[in-house]
Amino acid sequence: MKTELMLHLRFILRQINSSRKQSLIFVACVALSLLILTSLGGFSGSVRRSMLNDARQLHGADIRLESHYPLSKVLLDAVDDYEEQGVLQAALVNTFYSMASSQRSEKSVLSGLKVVEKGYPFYGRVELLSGREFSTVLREGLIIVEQLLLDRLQVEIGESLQIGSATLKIADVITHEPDRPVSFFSFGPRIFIAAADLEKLDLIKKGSRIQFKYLLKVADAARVEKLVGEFTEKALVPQESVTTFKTDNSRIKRFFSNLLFFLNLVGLFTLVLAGIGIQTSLYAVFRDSEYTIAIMKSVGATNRFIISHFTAMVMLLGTAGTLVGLTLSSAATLLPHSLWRRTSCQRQSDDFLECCP
Amino acid sequence: MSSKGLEAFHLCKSYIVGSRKILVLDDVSLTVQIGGFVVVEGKSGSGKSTLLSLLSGLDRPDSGTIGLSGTDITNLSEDALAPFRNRTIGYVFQSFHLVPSLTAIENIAFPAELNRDPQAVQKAEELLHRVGLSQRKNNFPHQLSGGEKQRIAICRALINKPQIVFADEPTGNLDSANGKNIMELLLELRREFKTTLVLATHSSEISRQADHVFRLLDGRMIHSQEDED
Repeated sequence: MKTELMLHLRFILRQINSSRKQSLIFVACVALSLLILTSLGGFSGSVRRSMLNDARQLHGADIRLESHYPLSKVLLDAVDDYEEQGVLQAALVNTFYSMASSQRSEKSVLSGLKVVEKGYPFYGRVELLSGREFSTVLREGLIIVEQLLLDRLQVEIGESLQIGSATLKIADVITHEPDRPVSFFSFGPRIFIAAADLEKLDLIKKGSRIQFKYLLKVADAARVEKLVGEFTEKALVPQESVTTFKTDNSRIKRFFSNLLFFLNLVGLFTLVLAGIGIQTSLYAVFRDSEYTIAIMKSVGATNRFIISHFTAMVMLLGTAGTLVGLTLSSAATLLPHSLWRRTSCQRQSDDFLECCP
Repeated sequence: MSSKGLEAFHLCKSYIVGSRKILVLDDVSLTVQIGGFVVVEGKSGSGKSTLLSLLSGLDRPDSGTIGLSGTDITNLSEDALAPFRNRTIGYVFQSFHLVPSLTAIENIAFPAELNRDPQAVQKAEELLHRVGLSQRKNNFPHQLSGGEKQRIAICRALINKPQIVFADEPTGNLDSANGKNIMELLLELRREFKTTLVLATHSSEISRQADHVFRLLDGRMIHSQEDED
């Protein structure tokens, strides 16, 4: 038995060596198939886990009520009731675009305004260039802006900007905004404005394109689902939406869903190609071995010996391919973490992603 | 089936080429005694190689019977024939047919290893030494000359000490000097191993050394002659 095993092993190694080109292709195809299967699965899982972990921060709240119209009275009353009972905290956030101009430089830039109430953000942290706390800096009459806005308007911290009917002073510069979803296009740099200045802006008119949001932080996490159910019942369909960090269909979520769908599709085609590669290389190995098989039979090798010999050879090559594939896929699983870090960073320019360190 | 070395009766074999049926062997019968040296002589295309492949169990006849060492091999299954071929028959091909991925010593030892002989490598080394190729034992077939390859093939055919060795024009791919050496070696080893040798050739010179000569012409046995020497 030992002699036969040794004969098999030595003969297999000789055979592999003599058809090393085809054997290498076979191993590469098996490795590629495995790499695709495991890394795609790992990548999808990793992205989903990372998204879930960071979703609350990206969402900025446990529950978000949104509408392009002022929120309905029924919904607002429900929020007020729960806020009075101490069940939740609420913060109004209105986002819209408007021109910001500097009288000194005589320049204007279309900007993304974000009018926020105290308490924003419930999760995550708005980081400022000065290192100060966001809540202590953003007060009535002051604004916090993106560096890009300063560059475009050629103004500095301490100067005032005209936004709508209000003149507001630049207090600081944003370096990180936690709930800003990834998008490849933006119409203008961000300006944070205190909710107390909203009326002074005089920009909210009938027909204005504004996104009204209520961010809610629920004291008891176990009550989130129940509250969502209640708010959903009260919300006007379809203009008002009630979302949690788990159900929110954010741009980043859509981006990764599309990316994963595309990767799955590419993976499927690559898998088919790898399958063809495995079949072709195996066929080539056997075609090369036809002569050897004939000689083996002429000197008395049984069919059992020949079949077991070539089965063992394919298994050996398959194992080698599997090991290579697993090693590569282990390395590939590190990629999503890095990618996630890159994409979940604050965008620092209008059109391109700038990465966290 | 008698206990004689090799008996074949009324062998017929034909091949289909395109839509034509070509009769290669037509009612061939022969008997070879144990320990003898017989030659199957005939021109190219006379059916010598086909006859040897039928007698050695490498191919099957359309009709007729073949008995070898008292066993009727005509209808043996492939799985039964393989170990029988391994232990009882040695075959030397005109084109050597060594396994290209194995070294010289591995090629020789292979039939013995298939027979689970623990002394396989030792026997192969002895045979290599006997044919004067000890220094070439780790060379692959593509690194050997024609004469060396044929010597390796002879060693491979003899390693299991078979009762009968078939040699199909063993000098056909060699120059005359090498061919002569190989024939001398083959006959020497036949005597040493006390084995029956059935050799196919078209050389009258080789035929003259045989105990018995069978002559084939267009697939038919035309003459069977005892060597008067």
